[in-house]
Amino acid sequence: MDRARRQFLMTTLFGEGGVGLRALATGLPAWFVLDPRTATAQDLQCMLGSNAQYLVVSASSAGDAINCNAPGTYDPGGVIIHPTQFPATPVTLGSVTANGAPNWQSDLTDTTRARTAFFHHVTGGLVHGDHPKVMAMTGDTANAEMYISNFAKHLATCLGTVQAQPVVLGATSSLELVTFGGLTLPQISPTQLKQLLTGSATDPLVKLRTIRDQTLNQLNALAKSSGTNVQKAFLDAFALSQNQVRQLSAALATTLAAITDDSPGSQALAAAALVSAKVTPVITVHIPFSGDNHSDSALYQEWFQTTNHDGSGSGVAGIQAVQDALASLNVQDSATFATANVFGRTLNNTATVEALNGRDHYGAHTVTVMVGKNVNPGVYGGVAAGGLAGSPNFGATDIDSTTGQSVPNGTGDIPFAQTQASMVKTLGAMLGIPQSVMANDFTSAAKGKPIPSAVVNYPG
Amino acid sequence: MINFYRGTVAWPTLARAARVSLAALAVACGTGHSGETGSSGLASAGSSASGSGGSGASSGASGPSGASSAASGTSGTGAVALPDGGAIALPPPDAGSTPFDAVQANSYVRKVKNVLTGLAPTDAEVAAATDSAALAALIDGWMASPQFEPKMLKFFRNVFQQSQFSVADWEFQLRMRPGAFDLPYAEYGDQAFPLMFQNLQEGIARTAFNYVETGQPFTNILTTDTFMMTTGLMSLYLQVEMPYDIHTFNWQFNQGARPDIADTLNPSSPNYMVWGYAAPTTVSFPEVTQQKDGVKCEGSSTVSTFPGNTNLYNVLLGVVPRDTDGTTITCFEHAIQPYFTPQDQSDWRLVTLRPLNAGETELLAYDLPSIRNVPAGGSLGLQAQRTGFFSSPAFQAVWNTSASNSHRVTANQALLAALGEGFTSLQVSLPPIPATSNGTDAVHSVSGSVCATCHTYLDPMTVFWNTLYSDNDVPTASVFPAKAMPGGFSFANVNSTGTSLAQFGAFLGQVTDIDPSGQINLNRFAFNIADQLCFFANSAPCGEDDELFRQIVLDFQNANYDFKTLVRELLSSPLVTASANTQTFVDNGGVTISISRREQFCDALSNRLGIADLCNIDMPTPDGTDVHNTAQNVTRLAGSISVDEFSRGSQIPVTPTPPNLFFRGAVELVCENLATRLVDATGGPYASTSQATITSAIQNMVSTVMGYPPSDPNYAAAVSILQQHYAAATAPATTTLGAPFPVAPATTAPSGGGATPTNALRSTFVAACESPTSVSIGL
Repeated sequence: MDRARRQFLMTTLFGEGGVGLRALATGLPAWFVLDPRTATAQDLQCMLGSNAQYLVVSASSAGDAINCNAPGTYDPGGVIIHPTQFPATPVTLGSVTANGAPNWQSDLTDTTRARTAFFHHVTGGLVHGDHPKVMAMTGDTANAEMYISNFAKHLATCLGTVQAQPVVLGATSSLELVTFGGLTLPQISPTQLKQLLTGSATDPLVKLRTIRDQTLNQLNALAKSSGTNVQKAFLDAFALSQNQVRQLSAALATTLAAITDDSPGSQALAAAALVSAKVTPVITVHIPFSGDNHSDSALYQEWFQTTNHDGSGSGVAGIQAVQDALASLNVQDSATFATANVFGRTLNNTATVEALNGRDHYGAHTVTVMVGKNVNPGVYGGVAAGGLAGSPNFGATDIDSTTGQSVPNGTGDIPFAQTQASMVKTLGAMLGIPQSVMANDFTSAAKGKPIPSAVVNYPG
Repeated sequence: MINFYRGTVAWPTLARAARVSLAALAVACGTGHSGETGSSGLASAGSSASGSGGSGASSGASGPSGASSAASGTSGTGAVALPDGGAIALPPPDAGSTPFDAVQANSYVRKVKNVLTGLAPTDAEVAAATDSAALAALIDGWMASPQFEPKMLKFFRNVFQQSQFSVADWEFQLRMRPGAFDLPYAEYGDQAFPLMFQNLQEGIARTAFNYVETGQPFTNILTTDTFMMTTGLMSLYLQVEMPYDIHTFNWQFNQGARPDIADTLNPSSPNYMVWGYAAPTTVSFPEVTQQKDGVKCEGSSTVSTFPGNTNLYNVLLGVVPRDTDGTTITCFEHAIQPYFTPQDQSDWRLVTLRPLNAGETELLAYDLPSIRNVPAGGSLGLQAQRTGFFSSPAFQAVWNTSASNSHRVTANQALLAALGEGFTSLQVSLPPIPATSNGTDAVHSVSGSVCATCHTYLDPMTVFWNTLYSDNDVPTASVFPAKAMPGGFSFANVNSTGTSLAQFGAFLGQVTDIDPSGQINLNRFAFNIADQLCFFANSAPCGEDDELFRQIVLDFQNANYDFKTLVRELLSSPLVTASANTQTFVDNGGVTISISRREQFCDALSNRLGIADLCNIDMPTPDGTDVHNTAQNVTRLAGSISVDEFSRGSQIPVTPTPPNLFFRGAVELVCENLATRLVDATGGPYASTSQATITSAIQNMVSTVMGYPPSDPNYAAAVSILQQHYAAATAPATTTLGAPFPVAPATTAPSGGGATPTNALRSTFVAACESPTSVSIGL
């Protein structure tokens, strides 16, 4: 038994067992409950400006090939392998133009592209099981909290959401779990969400819910009367959930009626509805871009999903669908979208990829796509030979933190190994979270600098 | 008699010093391996009301723990006694980030009985649970109940990762389109197809439970080649090995009648290889059949010809494919009565899966009469080597491999499932370089590259599979020539080579826990199984450094890996009862109270009300639920409740615990759905026909559904609350309800429900069903 695993076990999924519950029960932020001795009065107040944003994350444990065809991966010129259907195409990102796969230009509207950035970085993920760890920056977040959960904690108070915990909407694998305060959050599909929050007003048992809620309050109080402290906290959380489900049912009824399946389009609708109803600061969805395409003859699956060939809402069109859904509820300026991959996929220099027969896992490069009001459009970082792989394989490069430009010669002030931390800090700034507020989210190992120039109205 | 690795020195000191090899322990401490089952572990010490300090050693039924306050309900401080007079000191109540508050007997008896059986506690049981020894005796009784086996089967199928597969996961072992599971339009007759999925999920779990029942060492699951099998399951194992014959083998289907299968299989019969129609009792997706109103052949004299054994397997499962010459459809596909009978898929017996003897002809997957004749204790000849839990078709379907992956995932998941450890990016201390580099992927394992580490260790392990199975997980003899042996196993303290999966399993069984100082202690498989049981009971791990937990693991080990010993000791200990503080709670930040996840919630309702599978979830739904089938409404609703899962590449099971709004919404819908089946319904336990039946129903809901037995301090109040609910629900809608409606904090007083007695009692059931103690573990 190595100490690292033991420590990981104790400090991640259940290391702070009950913290989330206690936070729910008390109404205090989870990190305050965890360590009230170090929390300050400021922690209990909204420390963000008026730019606080909701976050919709497309999370994938499959490790999609977004990184292989996004703007920024064409510029090395002829080395990186793309599907033949993806010739270098100018993609207009506000005032910036970079070559990418054609769909980045055709499937996103001008408005969307004018607030879209492509951040090239490493994740260090090796296997699919690393997804939860990559979401916790592989040990670089305090208490092994996932960075999106840290964002949620900061944003919840300012946004006034029903709950601080993210809602996991589109998980295609149990690996796409999200933890918050040490607890694993349930996964729920759009159709399940619809079903749970709608009921027939003519059903006699539905009509009796008001009276039954009072009965449940009595039963809760009875159980609390003889409960331990931990049991009482659970019962408080249970009662809170009862109130929340009633409130949400009323708020979302109209929007949820349009959901008919669990496709990315429905996920987008459900996410927008949850933003509109101020349920949670962070929602995860899943928009496929290739899947785990080790064996992918002619990179067909990669092309198929990236281009939304079957109309299922995959690929670039899926990102636009999220923007459209947010706009339909007039919350497009309130939410930022981002992708989160466990790893990217190999760009070159393996037999299969050179033969266009598939791509393998590649933690040395991925691309996070960011879309939002506070996103300064463009390409940040880039790819070059060397990097983590130590071979002719192309991987993420160093970055200049002032310009956000790729520094292929290894002299950037954001070394390639720190680019994930840089991405997270930059994304946090796009959500309106100052670096000072995020400071305690990370361990000292998370050294990557943010890129202020990537952020409109950089919060400092 | 169990011996302990303990001498006369103080426990905390010894705990570290004792972490040496088991062999050394046996010499140093004079301990042996008793192999006895049902013998005691630790016993209560201190001021236990019953004075149980020495009972564990003599009762034959006690477990560890029994903190001093367990029976008296005081603050939960104390120690766990060892038979030789020593004790494991438990942390004081104020240790840890949250002040510890000891759980009372009525609460932990409710929890433990629910975990093991799904049943509610009785007055007698709560009264009997005066200390940990008494609780251990109760646990023995619960383990003998009929509800224990199904609970454990669900636990084992998750622990050994046999359950989370879909139809698509079988495309490799059973061939891609047309594959044996590629049923057209997901249409099939009767239940053979879902039962096949159930058989696949349960084969290893039932094998494990056989060890529980017989007291055999639980470690056998790592090396055994004898498994619980049904006729249907054996047929499936054979189908994996059937040849690719889509162009060389034809068979016929008589759309009007079904010949006797003996004739169908008789080369001398005119009906040789003529299969035939029999009407199914049920059809999986009736509306699909109705929509295909083109050419119907059911009952006609048409005899259709089809190619290949994979299409034929569809017939065994209950559907005949479309008959077409490529342009003209002669007969649409349609559901039929499966050739597998319900008996074929429930005739569980132990069968040894052995290599084919020289000159032996392998049974054909569709030769059901011959397969049925394989007796209990008999054997089945196979091309494939099937050893341990990690080479079952189900495991290989869940973790199906590819040419690129080349069984690395399979090997790593075998490590994770068996040991709770595997190769992840967080691994910082690596074992020695494997004794062989066979199988190492030279492209990816370039020294210094990020990929090298995993490939260096995992690739030699993949040889154990790659030699035997193709990348489609079928025997290599039928596809590829065998690859170079031996395989290499370097993990923790084991670095060896081997040539069979049995050796791989044996290596798993040799891995031991290594403490930071490099000394060796507990068997890692035993440790992991115990920790998985912690997750099952607590939705949280037990602390790896918790001396009480380590002692329980050692007791399990010393009891010759008798699983019941583990259950008895762990579930009667403060680690599960929370009757006293433990280092685990200190490390975990407190005791975890959890929602009752789907199987726990539905099993409890079913077992308490005596109606099997109330949520309609026990039968797998290989192609999802039918949105047009109202009978499956509850299945879909229950599908929204969080479940126990396992994950790829992770040693930690997924056990969501918080009662968030989505869980709350799902539980309410399930309870509302069930109410209509349970109140004033045929076969339902509750009736609103008279005041007497209503009173009886409400009392039963409190004691059975909510788990408050009549002697519980909350029983009378709970009955009163439900009675008030019934009265409020039936009150005219124009009535403004007074106290106790609303209860504090005061809100607008609701009106009466104006409901009929039936709906009022149904609503009362829903309130009981979704009450705190019904939907949680640990209250």
